[in-house]
Amino acid sequence: MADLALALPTARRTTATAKVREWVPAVCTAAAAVLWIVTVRRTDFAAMRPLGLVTILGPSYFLGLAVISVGLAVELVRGRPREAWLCTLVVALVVYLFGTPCAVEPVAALTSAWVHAGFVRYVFLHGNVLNGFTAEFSWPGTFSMFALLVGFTGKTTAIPLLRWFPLGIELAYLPALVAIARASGVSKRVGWLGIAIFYGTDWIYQDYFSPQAVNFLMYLVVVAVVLTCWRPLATAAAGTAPALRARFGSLRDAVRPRRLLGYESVAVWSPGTVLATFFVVVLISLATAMSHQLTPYAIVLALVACLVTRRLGRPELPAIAFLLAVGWLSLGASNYWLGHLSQIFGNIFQIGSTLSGNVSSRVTGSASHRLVVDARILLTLALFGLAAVGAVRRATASRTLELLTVAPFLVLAGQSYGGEGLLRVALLSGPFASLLVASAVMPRRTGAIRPIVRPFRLGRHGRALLALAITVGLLGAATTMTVVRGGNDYYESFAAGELDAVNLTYLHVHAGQTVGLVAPYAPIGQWAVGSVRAYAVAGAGTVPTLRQMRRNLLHVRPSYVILSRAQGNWGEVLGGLPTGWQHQLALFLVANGYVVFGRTPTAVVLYTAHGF
Amino acid sequence: MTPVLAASAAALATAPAVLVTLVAALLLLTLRAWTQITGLVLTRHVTLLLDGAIGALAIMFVALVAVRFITVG
Repeated sequence: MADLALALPTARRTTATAKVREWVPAVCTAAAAVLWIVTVRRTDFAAMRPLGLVTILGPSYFLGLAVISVGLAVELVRGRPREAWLCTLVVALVVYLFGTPCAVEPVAALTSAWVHAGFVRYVFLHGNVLNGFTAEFSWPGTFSMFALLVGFTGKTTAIPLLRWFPLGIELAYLPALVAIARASGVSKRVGWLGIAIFYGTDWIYQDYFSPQAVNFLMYLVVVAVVLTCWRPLATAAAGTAPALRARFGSLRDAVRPRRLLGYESVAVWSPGTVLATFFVVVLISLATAMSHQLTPYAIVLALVACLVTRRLGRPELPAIAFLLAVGWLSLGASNYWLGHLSQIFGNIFQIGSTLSGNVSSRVTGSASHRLVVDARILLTLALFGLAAVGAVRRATASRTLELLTVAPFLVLAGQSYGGEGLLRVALLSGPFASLLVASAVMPRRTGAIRPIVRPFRLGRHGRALLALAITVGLLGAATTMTVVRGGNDYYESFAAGELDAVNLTYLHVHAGQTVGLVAPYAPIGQWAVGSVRAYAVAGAGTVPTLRQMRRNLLHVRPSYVILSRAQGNWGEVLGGLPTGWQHQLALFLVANGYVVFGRTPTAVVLYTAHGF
Repeated sequence: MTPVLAASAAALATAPAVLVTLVAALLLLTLRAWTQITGLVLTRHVTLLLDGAIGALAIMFVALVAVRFITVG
């Protein structure tokens, strides 16, 4: 509030204008709701083109995004922004960005979501995990939790959860994000803008039904609880901005024993509440340690970041979180690392090769796919670039946000995480980087740590310019995010016919038989975990030639082969295969002993009695 | 029990040694946090003893995990 008053000239508003502005968020929310319903009703999933989801969304979708951006901008530059309306508009933004795919795609996207539903079913039926089946079963916490939930609901499978899970989990992040924004030392309006920016740039598709989606929530909760509970001890604010040399000199304070022992922060809650908070964080650390490979170490790094920036008073917490993570790896996940130690330790301190491998392995495929990948890289670079601007523009009491943005990248020093490490790290940094980006737009002017660059005043029309900048920025980010997040949907989302084909196969396949695919893009894996094997000729990142596909399928000779729309699209987009290539493959298989077992509008199931 | 656990490298690498050290370190860390949060005053000698024990257990835990990785993995 005070920040904006300093940054903007005081404008004399007429009562009529003020009244209009009061109603803008309500009108925008109502208009956005109507436009969303129109979008969902008019969208034809079957008309999707190689650029993915964006090709089937009509103008009403983008008009709706524009309306939400205007509503948020108008409310954010008000003298007293109303949090209820800001929250409503952010929820509308979340529904647009994450709920639209759920609403317009007939069944849940991403094969991994279906495979995870299969793991949950296995735990539900057997009460334990299948040792040695997959690395994910070495961290079964999330699967066990969902098996418990499935049991509570009286179902036997988590499949009903899959379709709307991304929207549900993104909305579940919101309270933790609000708590982080409130406790991180930024103003109310910067907090809400930061949250909107986070959602508007969160293209990393990790919110599907998966352990990482749930564990990201745990991560946010831990950071929110710690930031809310502990505050830095008050220090005198410097009158002027100190020289850079003096700033770097003060970095030594961050590693002094007094700070590392937590004596430079103070708990704002009573001892009883702090003790309860302590045990809650320990409990979450324990749950995370047995649920995900990467998040426990990110939590350790985040806690250390809070400790050295005077936002954590209990140094025991990062130590306990670390011991639990390593303890579970050593004791609970031994099935994973027995015989695969090089996978865990092979990439230690090879940050350069990990970074380049994570990026270069994705810049492949057709022109449309490369466009999507390039846009993803640009959006991420823009986020972190603007976060750097925010870091040098803002005054603050502690550099917690900056350190929380950087800390997850240290995870990459450990391992590449199968080529996905950079994605996960960008996700873990995202909420804090977004708050810094918002600080670049509306930096705070008060705090013991002075801004590195001198603040400047906006001109006469500062408030209007700011609203325009927020509108354009949010709309640009949300539009780009829609393009890049749904950029793989051409082959990662599925039609109802594809699910019907998979279900038909599961209905007839026997234990010990194999179901063959050309590529791992089908809603498969949700039934018969451990008894029916799903075999894909190609991995997710490589596209074999048609000749290699034929040879491999005949060599493995699965009893059932499913050819489907998504796999066909994958071949066209990533491999440059001609349209209708699956038809040629089907004819070849029929000529080699397979018969057409079933057919849906978007898939065909082939069967051979002489298969495996 | 300790002599059995420390009898050989293979014994050190077994799960019980890692687990016992882990649980001991966790208990002492929790005890330290509890005393600090509730404002229980400890003498300097006891504080040093507690911190020393935690440090020693943490080092032992990391070493045992490393031994387990090398001998079992």
